[in-house]
Order: sequence, then structure tokens, then C-alpha cells
Amino acid sequence: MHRKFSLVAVLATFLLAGCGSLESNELKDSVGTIHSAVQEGAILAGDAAKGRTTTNFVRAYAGQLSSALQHETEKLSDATPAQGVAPKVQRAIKAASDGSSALDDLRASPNDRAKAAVARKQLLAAAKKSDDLDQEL
Amino acid sequence: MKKVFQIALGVIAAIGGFVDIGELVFNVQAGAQFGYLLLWCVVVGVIGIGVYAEMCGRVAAIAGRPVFDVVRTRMGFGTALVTLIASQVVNLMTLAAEVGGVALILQLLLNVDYALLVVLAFMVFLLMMWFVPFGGLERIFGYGGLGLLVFVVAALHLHPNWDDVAYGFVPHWRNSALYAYFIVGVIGAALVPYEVYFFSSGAIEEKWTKKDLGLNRANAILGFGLGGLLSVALIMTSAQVFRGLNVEPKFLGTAAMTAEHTLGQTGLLIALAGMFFAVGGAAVEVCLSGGYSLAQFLGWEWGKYRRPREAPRFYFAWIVFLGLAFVVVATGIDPVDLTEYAVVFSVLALPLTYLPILLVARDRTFMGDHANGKIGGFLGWLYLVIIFVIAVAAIPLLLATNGGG
Repeated sequence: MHRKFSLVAVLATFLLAGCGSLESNELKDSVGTIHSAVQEGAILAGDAAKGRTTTNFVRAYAGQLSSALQHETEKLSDATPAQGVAPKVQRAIKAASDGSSALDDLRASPNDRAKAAVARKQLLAAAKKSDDLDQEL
Repeated sequence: MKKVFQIALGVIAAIGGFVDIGELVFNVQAGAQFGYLLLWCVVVGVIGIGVYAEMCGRVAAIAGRPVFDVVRTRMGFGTALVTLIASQVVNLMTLAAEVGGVALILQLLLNVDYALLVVLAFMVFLLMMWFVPFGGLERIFGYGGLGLLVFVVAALHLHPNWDDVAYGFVPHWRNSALYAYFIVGVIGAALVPYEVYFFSSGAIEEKWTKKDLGLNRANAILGFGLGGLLSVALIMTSAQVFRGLNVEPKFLGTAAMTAEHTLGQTGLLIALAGMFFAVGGAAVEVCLSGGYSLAQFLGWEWGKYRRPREAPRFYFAWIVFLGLAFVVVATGIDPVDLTEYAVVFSVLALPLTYLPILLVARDRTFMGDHANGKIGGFLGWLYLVIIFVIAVAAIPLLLATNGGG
């Protein structure tokens, strides 16, 4: 009985210790989501820069991608990183917020081709950052 | 000539339900993550749904019995009740995903607040399903869904490497849980149970008889075949646009963007219109399937060809079903996430739906000379084995891959 209780206590301590701490495999999932959203955003911005899309589509889709990136930013900011993961979490947050900000610029002026081209460059840079981070994880 | 025209109409109408939000999500994801490698799964799924839809239509035309009537007769009350509950839960998840999907597509077209569009979608479906007759619903959404052919144009416009495409049609295995998850997803999305409920109830709605067996076969083979072509085009376009970019699509806009990126504004607008009608048509089919299944199980009067006062409980059932789906979407759940879960959980309900259809379709006391032949019987059993395998694998793969993420 005593042995059984001890086992439960050890398991509970182990689980509680892991609770809330962000491990590198979870960070990798988040980085994958960030990379995907900024990469899609870059394609959208590229099409907007060429005048190959519609205003409504750019506004709505860039809004959805930006919300997804903001959600990842909040999730990563709220999490307690496991030992050694914190600097990488900060880099992921930076990539997500850079991407989100570029997408917000794109939403604000969907018909401005020059601004769309700038947003594309920023999104490609964010995609590169997230890709590099993904390789390290 | 009249017969050919009738077959053409049926084929077009069949598209309305085949390519739904599940196909859009899983096919675009499959193309982005695995290139052409999962094309063979579309073929497996299309042949499976064609085989079983043909059986359902034949049973409806010869024995005059829709699917749920058959399930209850052959499997008994207890098993039929389990099937009913499982299929209604999956139908509700699917309907909520389709209604939410329609709102998302409208948002991409109009850039209006999503919550408002969910209410609008609910009202439009309610009014259309109340006032428009069965044939009209089939044609509106079937013709509109032809807009998805823009993905075929896009796939060809991108000049694919045909050797790679051909290799994708050869079934092969990869030692990856994610790859296995997408095999289940792509095949499961093609085989969702509501398609056979709707196909068989539609045959009764349209008063099919022995004379319509040719039409039934043409609808099952050509209609689902054309739907399969659209799925192949979605995978090919996605594979080409996202090649090497490590994109894991999570949005309906991703599918539309592949058409935009390839064909510009016109391609985008046609793709969004096609997606709207295809997903809208699926919403109508799932909603009616919910009403059909419940009414057939409980022995109520049912059918869109009947006036509401002639089949009040059937009309009440699908309206409640639509209302529940609206409530689910209104909670703010992401329709794309919901779609993935709906497809995976629908795989679990497949054996319970498909086994009784096979048993009745081969039974000469019900079907006389029109019972399954050797080829039909072989394909029926083969697909039942495939269905059991993917049903067993579905949940472990969902957990192992964190929902394909």
C-alpha cells in the first residue's frame, strides 16, 4: 500500500514538474505553425505586389494569418520554457510578431503594390528565421 | 438524348457533395506536405465511395429501402441505434464544419465579420432548404461546384512533371506516422458516411426504379470520378505551389490562394465561388442526411418531396440539426480543426454503415437478379477490409501526430 502511494506521489511530482514547461518538441510544433503562416503570407503579399488578387481576399486572409501568428505569440509568451529553451522561444516570438506586423501592414493597404512588396520581404525574412530555428530544434 | 441529359445532370449534381470541406482541407494539406505521393489515396477513396454509392442506389431502386432502413432491418435495433448515434454525432460535427466553412469562404470573398456571416449562412441554408425542392438544391450546388474545375486548369497551367504525378498514383508506404495519418484522412474524407445516406435517400426522393439502374451506375462512377479528378487537381496544385516551402496549411484560404497564385484574380474568384457552392452543397446534404437517418430509423414519414405538413417530424429533425450545428459554430470553434476531427471520427462509424449495405446488396431475397455480382461482391468485401483497417488506425494516428500537426 505504502509502495503504491509512493509510486503515485513520484508520478504526480513528475507530471506537475512537467506541467506548464515548454519543451523543445512543443516549441518545434509552434515554430512549424509560425513558419507555415509567414510563408503563406509571403505568397499572398507577392501576389498582391503583382496585382493578381482582390482587396477583400488580401484583407480577410492576411487577417486570419495574422491572428494565427498572434495566437502563437501569446501562447509562447505565456509558457514557462524548459531549461535551455528560453532563447529559442524568444526567437520564435520575434519571428511570429515580425510576420504578424507585416501582415497587418498588408491588410491596411492591400492595393499598394510597393507596400505589398515590402511586406513580402519582411515575411520572407521571418520565414527564414523560423526555418533556421526549426533546423536547430 | 433525354437519358443522356438526365445522366449529365446527375453527374454534375454528384459533384456537389463529393468535394466538401474535408476534401479541401486534407487534399491541400496532403499536397503541401507530401507532394504527389498521396494521389493514390484519392483513387482508393473514389472507387470505394463509387462502389458503395452504387450499391445504395441499387438497393433503393430495387428494394425501395434507404440506408438506415436497411441498417435497422439487417443489424437489429441495438446495433442500428449505435450506428445512428455514431453517425449523427459525426454528421453534426461535419455540418458545423461545413456551415463554418461557408462563412469562412464568404469572408474571403466579402471581408465581412465572420460571426455575422455564420448567422447569414444559417439563415440562407434554412430558407433554401425549406423553399427549394430537392432537385433544385442538387442542381444549384452541383452546377456552382463546377467552379472547382479551375483547380484542374491551375494544375495543368503549372506544367507538372508527369513522371512524378504517375509515380504518385502507385500505392507505396513510408515509415512515417504523419504519412499514415494522411492516408487515413484522404481516404476517409472520400468515404464519409453522409454521402451514402444522401445518395440512397436521394434515389427514393427521385422515385428511382429498376429503369434507373443505368443512371445510378453513371452517377456513382462518373459523378464521384469527376469529384476524384477535382481532388487530384487540389493535391497537384498544392504540391506545385508549396513545393519545398514546408507549409502546413490550416486555412481554407490556402486552397483559394493556390488558384490565385497560378491564375490571378479571375482564378481566385472562380475558386472561391466553386468552394462556396461545393461546401454549401455538402452542408445541405449533411443536414438532410441527419433528418433522413433519424426519420428512417424511427419509421417517420420523410422526404423533401413531401410538404412539411405531410412529414412534420422529418422537417423538424433537419431544422434542429441545422440549429445545433449553428450553435457549435457560434462557440467560435475553428471549422478547419473541426473538419479534421469530423473526418477522423467518421472513419470509426464507417464499418457500421457500410457492412449492412453490403449484406443487403448481395441478398437475393431483397434484390432478386440485381444482387451483387462477382466483381461488385469482391470490391464490396475488399473495401470493407480497407475500412476496418483505417477505422482501427484512425485514433492512434490522430494522437500520434497531434492531429496532423
